[in-house]
Amino acid sequence: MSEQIREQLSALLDGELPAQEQSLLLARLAHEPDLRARWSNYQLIGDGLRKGLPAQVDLDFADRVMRAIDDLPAQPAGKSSAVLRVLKPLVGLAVAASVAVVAVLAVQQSRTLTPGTAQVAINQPAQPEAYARVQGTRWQAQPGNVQAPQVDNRLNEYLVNHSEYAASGGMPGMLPYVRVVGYDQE
Amino acid sequence: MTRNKPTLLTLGAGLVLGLLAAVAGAATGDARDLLRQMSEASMGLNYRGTFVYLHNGQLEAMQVVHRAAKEGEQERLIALTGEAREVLRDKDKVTCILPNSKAVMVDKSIPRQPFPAALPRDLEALTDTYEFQILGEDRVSGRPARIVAIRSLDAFRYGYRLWLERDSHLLLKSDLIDSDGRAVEQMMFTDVEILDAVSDAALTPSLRGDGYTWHEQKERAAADDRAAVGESAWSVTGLPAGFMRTHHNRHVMPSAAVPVEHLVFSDGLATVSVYIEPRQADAQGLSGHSNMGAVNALGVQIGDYQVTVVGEVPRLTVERIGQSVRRR
Repeated sequence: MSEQIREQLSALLDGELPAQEQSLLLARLAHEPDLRARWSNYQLIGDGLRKGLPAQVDLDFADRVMRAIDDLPAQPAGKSSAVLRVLKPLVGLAVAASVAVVAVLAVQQSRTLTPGTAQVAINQPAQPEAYARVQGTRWQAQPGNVQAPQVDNRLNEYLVNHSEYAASGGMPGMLPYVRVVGYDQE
Repeated sequence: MTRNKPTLLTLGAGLVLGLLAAVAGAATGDARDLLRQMSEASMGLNYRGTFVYLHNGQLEAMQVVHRAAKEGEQERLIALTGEAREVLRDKDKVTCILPNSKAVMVDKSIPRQPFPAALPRDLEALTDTYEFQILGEDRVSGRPARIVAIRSLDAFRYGYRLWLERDSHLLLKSDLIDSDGRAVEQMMFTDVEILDAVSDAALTPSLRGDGYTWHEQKERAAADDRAAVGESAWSVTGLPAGFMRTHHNRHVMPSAAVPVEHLVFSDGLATVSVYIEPRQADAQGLSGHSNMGAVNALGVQIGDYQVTVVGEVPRLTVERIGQSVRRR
């Protein structure tokens, strides 16, 4: 279910979340600091799974996302509350399920510390796809082609070098570096 | 009377068409004005913000601090989730601290250009490849924003949807759109403040990079300094429309002993790099296509040379360019 919440959040960022789901998600997040915190934890645990706990944690992150969400235009009250009444129990289930997934992820995290069990954890179907990647690079080779680490290293050097040109020309600011940072994840 | 009818109709139609063209032209001009203001804001304001970056279904939080100063811009980008990756940039150099790779990469910075890339005729040239439009108003991070759409007119480049703050013109949200209309990358500020001043401390990395491998570019010829760089022996014969060569350099890459020739092509928004180096017996280069989200790469071997094309453009574009690199 956390997968669904993640999808909903990404759809929300995209402005493509259906109005009904939007009001539901916002209602839950707006009234439940616990859910917000859980979502943050979920992020953290996912990150932990990928490559050890972060050196630095932004505890306010969920709240800041919330503030952004707070500012989204509200749905017409009558319509959304009717939908809310009907679907609230379902959302409760969704949240419960997401907590369960968080628990599973937490367990898996401790298991990945033991060599040999990592693969088992990674094959759990309950685990979101994004966190199942374990290869040491984000460069995706052609199907059936294994890319040597030195090829990736060189591509990374090129990407850092290229980013400076991309930043100096077209799009503003640090955007090209967001890619460099965003992809140095295992 | 009947004779005059078609003439009147034609006149009327012509007038309507003319008006439509004028309106469209004005909208395009307005959108580009906004983009120019966005570019100026991103360079000329002090700001600090937290944003989320969404790619491949994955959400990451980052923070950016920017200081505009007479002696040059300074920026710091920090990953808030996951390992504390950082990028620092000033007028001299760019430093990428990547704990995951246990690496610090230092590269020379090159001066920023206001939008669009500093090609003299870009504003006109861009309209052949992109269509600019103001889509309307929205709110991002509690701030009123205007949405500007940059539509790609062919499959050789991505499009954009940009949300600019109404007053400051800061970029609040950005979507990179592929030819199927899907967002391949999204960035959105959840919190941004414009500051009077930015302290040095806010621009100091929290990581010192102790025990990391430092990769520092050993030398670089001045950008477009023909005397130092020389004319390139290489050319791209099948460059997609709108792309022009903007830089030609030689670098010594951090992990390589021999200089790499670097050709940069830009269409004013998208940038593609072509790196050419002599093939080394012990080094393996990219062969074929590879990608990292919206960034595509293509490697080809031409004689004794390894050619690698990298850019935030669709796969089609790196293939078209990579397959038409020729030695003069």
